[in-house]
Amino acid sequence: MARLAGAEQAGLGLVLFLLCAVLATLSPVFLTLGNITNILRDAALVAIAGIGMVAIILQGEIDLSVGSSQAIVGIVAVAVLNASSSIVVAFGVSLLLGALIGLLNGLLVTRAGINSLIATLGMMAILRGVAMVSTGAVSIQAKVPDFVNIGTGHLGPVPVPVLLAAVLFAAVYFVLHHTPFGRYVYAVGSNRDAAELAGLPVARIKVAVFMLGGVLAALSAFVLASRLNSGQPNAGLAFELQVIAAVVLGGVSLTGGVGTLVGALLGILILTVLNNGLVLLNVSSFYHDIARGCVIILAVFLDTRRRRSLDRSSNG
Amino acid sequence: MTVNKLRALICIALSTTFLVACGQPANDGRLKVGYVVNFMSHEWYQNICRAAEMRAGELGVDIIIADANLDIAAQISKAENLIAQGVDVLVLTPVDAKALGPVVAEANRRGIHVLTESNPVEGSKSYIGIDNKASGKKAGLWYAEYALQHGMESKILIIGLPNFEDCRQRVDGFKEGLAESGLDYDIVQEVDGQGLKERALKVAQDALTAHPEVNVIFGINDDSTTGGMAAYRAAGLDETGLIAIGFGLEGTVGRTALLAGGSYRTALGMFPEFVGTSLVDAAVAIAAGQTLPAHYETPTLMITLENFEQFYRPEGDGYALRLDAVRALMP
Repeated sequence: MARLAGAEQAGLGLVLFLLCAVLATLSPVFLTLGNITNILRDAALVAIAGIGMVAIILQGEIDLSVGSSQAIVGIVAVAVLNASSSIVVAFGVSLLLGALIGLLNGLLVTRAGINSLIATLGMMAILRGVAMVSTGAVSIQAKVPDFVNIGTGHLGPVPVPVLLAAVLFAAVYFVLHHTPFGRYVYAVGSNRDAAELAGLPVARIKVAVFMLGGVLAALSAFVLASRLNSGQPNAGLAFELQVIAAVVLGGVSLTGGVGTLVGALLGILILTVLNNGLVLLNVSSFYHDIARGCVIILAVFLDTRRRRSLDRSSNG
Repeated sequence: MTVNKLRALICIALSTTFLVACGQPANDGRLKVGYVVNFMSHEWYQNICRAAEMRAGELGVDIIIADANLDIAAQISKAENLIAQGVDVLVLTPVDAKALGPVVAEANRRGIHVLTESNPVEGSKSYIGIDNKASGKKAGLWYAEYALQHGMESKILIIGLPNFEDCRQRVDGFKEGLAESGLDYDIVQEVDGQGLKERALKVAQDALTAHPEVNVIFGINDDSTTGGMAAYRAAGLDETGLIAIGFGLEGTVGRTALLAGGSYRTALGMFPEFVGTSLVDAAVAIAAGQTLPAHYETPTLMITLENFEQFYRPEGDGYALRLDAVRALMP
């Protein structure tokens, strides 16, 4: 199992390396510190939400509401910030809202028994609608000068969002791989019935994971609002697809139980580097989607082939 | 009172009587206008709709507004509903101009006048809106004049939205203005900001990494330009040397940026409030049997700190457009 995961990551690592090598040859600025900082800062936002998505997909569930939650949480964050003049209060309220959204998603899936694809699709539409209605579709400007430093500031040479993503990554990695809860998450995802028979509180685990996903999505929304210095009702359009594509590209299986955070991180980096490179090379935006699609298919193809050959060697 | 004014008054009085007589539906004697907007969630269309409702109130016209929310099927079914409700004039902001032919034909069959906003549709009597290309050209000419006066070396970044014809035309017009001006300039890159601040910030950031020499940003709307400015700031480039040009100035984003007095020097004012007012005026005119031009063009103008107050007056927390000042720009 460990060998299998390791091999998958090697394949993705190779794709990332090749991509970087090609871009470095084609663009003189690709390997500059400024550009690498940009890539990491962009990747950080996807990664923060992506970490939560990994846990959710490991359960065999999905969360389509993370894009809309970028909008509603960002708006609430800025509104609370302007009303209270306190970044801490705005931060706290944002995370609470994220937890609440996650809780609702979790209850809809476990208690109401609605398929998570449908439940979170509904939540996605509701949250976007609330964001539009509450603002009249007009963005709100943050009025606290220091707020913008969360998204754009640095600690030493490291951008704050990158630092935040790294800390969260380490924390969730620890939880998934070194605590009973992490084992339960994998267990529920790979075989729900077996987990239930073993006496695991499957529903509660699922709700907890949805809440984790909600809080992390709220965190990325908070950072995004800070970067834009405003709450934007159209923030995060199709963000959920970007996150899911990166996570799945990273080898996290949509059927649940299979996948790692490291793989997801590689998936996120591949797509971010690709987006960055296409602009650096001045490629017309019409080709961007084509390139993204090709890379996703190519990377998953390489993965599948590697896994198959691995299966054969372990069987034979 | 001068003879001219008197004559104007008589004209208005006459046309109003004519209107009431002519645009009279059987039920309650008021002109009934239905409007299916393409995307109410955008501030631009909110301003249009608000102004249209206000104008309809002034003129004693009943207006029903429905939102297609970028869904062409929804637009068609809502237009059909309005036709069934017996509106006298149907106004559409097309989600997709090519798909609206049948519903426009149906309206015409029932003697309902059809007008469109932004884009022409076959079978409609007139379309109301700005000339995107000519407006883009104004932005290009404005910048060229500024650059020639200040001896700027022009390294231009364009943040566009190439999926949309209107937005392509703005960029084409901008380039045409630059080309005609005789200015020596260099468009270092064009990126797709999808009209969203979030996206504009990301792509501009990458473009500025490749081209830190950029000192001019032209965006196809206010969010594109302000997103580009945020990227400029984040890249640690010297903003005092930057000229940012917006397009639209339809809401708080552009006005705040302009009034801050920083690098956002100017924006093309598209005056959505005036477009909304014009929709109702045009509907009234066509119901009264007047012939409208194929393109009922509403005026645009480069707005800077110098002429801002000529066109906007403070109202509440924000600003309201001086409709008369814009009307004075009409040919």
